[in-house]
Amino acid sequence: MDPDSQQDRFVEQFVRSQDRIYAYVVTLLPNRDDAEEVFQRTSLALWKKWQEFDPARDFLRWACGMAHLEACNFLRKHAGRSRVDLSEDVLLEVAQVRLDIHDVLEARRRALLDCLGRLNRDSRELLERCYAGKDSIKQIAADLGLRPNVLYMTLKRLRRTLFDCINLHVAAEGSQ
Amino acid sequence: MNETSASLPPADDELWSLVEAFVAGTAAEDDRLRLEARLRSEPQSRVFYVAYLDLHAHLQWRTRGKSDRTAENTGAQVTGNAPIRRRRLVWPSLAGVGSLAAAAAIFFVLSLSRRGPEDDSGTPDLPIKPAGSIAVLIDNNAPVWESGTSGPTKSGSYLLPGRLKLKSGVVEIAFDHGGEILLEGPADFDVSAADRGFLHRGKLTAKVLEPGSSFFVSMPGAVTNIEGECGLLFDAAGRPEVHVFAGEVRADPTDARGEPLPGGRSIENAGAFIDPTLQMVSAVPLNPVAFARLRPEVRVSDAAVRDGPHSSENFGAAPQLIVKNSIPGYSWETFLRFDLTGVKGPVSEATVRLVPVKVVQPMENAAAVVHSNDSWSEQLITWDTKPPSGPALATWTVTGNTSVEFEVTQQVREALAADKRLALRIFAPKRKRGSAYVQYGSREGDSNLRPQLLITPADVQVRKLRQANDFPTLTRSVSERPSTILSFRSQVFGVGTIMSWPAKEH
Repeated sequence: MDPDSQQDRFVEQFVRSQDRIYAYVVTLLPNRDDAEEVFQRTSLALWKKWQEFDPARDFLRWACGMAHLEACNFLRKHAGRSRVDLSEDVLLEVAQVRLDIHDVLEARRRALLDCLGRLNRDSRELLERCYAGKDSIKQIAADLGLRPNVLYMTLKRLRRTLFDCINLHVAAEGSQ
Repeated sequence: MNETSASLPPADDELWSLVEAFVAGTAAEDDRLRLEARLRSEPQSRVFYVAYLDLHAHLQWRTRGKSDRTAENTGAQVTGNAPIRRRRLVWPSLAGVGSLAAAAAIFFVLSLSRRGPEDDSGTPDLPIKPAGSIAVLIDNNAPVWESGTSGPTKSGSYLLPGRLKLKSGVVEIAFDHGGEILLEGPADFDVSAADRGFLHRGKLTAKVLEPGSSFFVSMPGAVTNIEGECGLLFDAAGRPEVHVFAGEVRADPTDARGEPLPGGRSIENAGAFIDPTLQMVSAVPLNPVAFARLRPEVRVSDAAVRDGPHSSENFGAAPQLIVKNSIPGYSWETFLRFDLTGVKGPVSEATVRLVPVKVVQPMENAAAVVHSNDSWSEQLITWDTKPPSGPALATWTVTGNTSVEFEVTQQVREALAADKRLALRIFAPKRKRGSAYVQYGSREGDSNLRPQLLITPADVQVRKLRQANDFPTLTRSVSERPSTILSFRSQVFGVGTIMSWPAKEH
C-alpha cells in the first residue's frame, strides 16, 4: 500500500473514533492535562503501530487497548504525585465496563447534545468556560465574584442536571 | 449492553460524592480507597462511574481547543516545534517516527477535532420551553407581588399551573393556547391550564389572539368562554362582572364545584353581572373606563426560531430575539406580530423600533411582511412551521446598541383595512458565520428593550388622562412639524402603545 493511501486510511479511522478514544482516556484519567498528554501519546503510538493493525479488527477497541497501555505508563511514571489516581486493577475493571456498554454510551452521548440545548445560556456558557481550561476555576470564580467552592458546587449541580436529563432522555427513547 | 440499560439506576449520595471528588481532582486518599472498594465490589457502581466519566469526557471534548484557538490556527505545530497544548507534550519525539508525513498526518488528525459542522463558537443560544409549562409571565407595569406568591415572578418566566397573588401593578400572561390576559393588582389568579385560568379576586382583561380559538376564565360563581376581548371583574363585594369589548363571550353562572348552571348567555359589546344565586346573567352598562389601563392599543407578539436540530423547538418566551444566517443548525430568524385592533382612526406614520442588546460585529438585517393569512403564534412557532414572507421591505446595518427603526406606514394601513394584524419576518440576507448575529430585546425581557410599533395618528387627538399617575413617559419626538406632536411609551397603556399629545397638556 502506498504511503499516502495508508495515511488516508489512518486519518479516516482516527477521525471517526478520536472522541471515543479521548473519552476512554478520561475515564481512566479525569484530569484534563493528564488526559491530553495520554491522548496525544496514544495518537502517536497508533500511528507508529498502524502497519501492524489488522483491518479485520475493531479499530476503536485496538486504539483503546493502546490508550490503556499509555495511561498505565503515565501513572507509573507519575507514581507518588499528590493527585489521587485509581489503582491499575480498578482501571482495568472500569475499562472493561466501558467497552461492554459502548452502545449505552453512544445513546447517552446523543442525548447529551439535546440536554445541553436545554440548559439556559448562562449555564452553558459557564460550563464551556470552566471546561475550556483556559482559566482556572479559581480565576473564573474570582471573575464572577464567587468563592471557588461555590463554583465547584455549581459545576457539580450542572453535571448532575445533565446526567439526570440524559437518563430521562434515553428512558423516553427506550419506551418509544 | 451487558450490565445496564441506557438509562441508569440512581446512584446513592456517597457514590455521587466520591465520583465528583475524583472528577474535580479534590479526592483524598480515603476517598480513593472507598471508591475503589465500591468499584471492585459493585458492578452498578462501575457502570455509573463509567457513564459519569463519559459525560465529563464529552464536555471536555466539546470545549477542546477553544482556549487556544489562535495558536492552533497559526499552523506552527505542523513543523513539530511547538506543543499543541499546555505542557510536556510529545512532539519532539516525532523525530523517532522518522517521517514529516507522519507528523503532518497526526497534526491533521488532532486539528480536525477543532473543526467540523458543530464548530460555530459565536452561536447564541436561548432557553427553550420546559416540559409542563402552560403560559409565560410578562411584566407590564411595575408589578409588586404578595409575599405568599410561590411561583416565578420574573418577566419571561414559564408558568406551570399555580396561583399568582399580585399586590399592585400590571402583569401580562400569555397562555399557550393563544389567550392573553392583563392582570391588575391587587389580584389573585390561578393559572389553571394552557387555555384557562381562575380569577379569585381582582380585575383583568382577556383577549383571544387567534381567530376561532377559545379561552376560559372562571370566577367564583361564574365561567366565561372568551372568543374576543373582554374585561372581567370580581370585586371585594363578590360580584362577578364581564364587559365585552370585541367578539363574543359566553357567560354562565356556576355552582360551588364550578359546574355551569342554567341561565347563561352570550354577550357582545355589553356588560353583564353573573348571578349564581339567581342563576341569571343581568345587563350592566359597558364600562371601558374601568379597564382602560389593561387595553393597549397595540399588542406585540415575538419569537425567534432556529434551524437544524432545533427546527422543532419554540423560543417564544425568551427575553431576546436573534437574527443569524449561518451554516445549518446555527441560523436564526425572528418573527414579530402587531395586533392593531386597538388603533382607532387613520395613521399618518408608523415605524417599527427594535433595540439591539448584543452585536459582536456589524451585520445587515432585513424585514419582510408575513402573509396575513398564514397564522402563527408566539408559543408554537418553530423553524419548521414558520410562515412564508414577501420580499424585504427594509434593510439596515446593526453596528451597536442604538435602536433601529424602519417605516411600515403603508403596511400598517393595509393591515388596518384587513385583519388588523401586521406580521414581520426579521432576517439576515447574507450568510456570515461565527459571531455575526444580532440579539434584540423581546417583549418578555426588559421593558425598555421591547419591540415597538410607533404610530402617529393622522388626526391628532387629545387624550386626557384620567388620573394623575397615568402621566406618560416621553421618549421621542416623532415630528418637528407641529410641536404639539409627541409619541411616548405609556407606563399605563403598555409597551407598543403610542399616542399623540399636545404640548400644552404637559
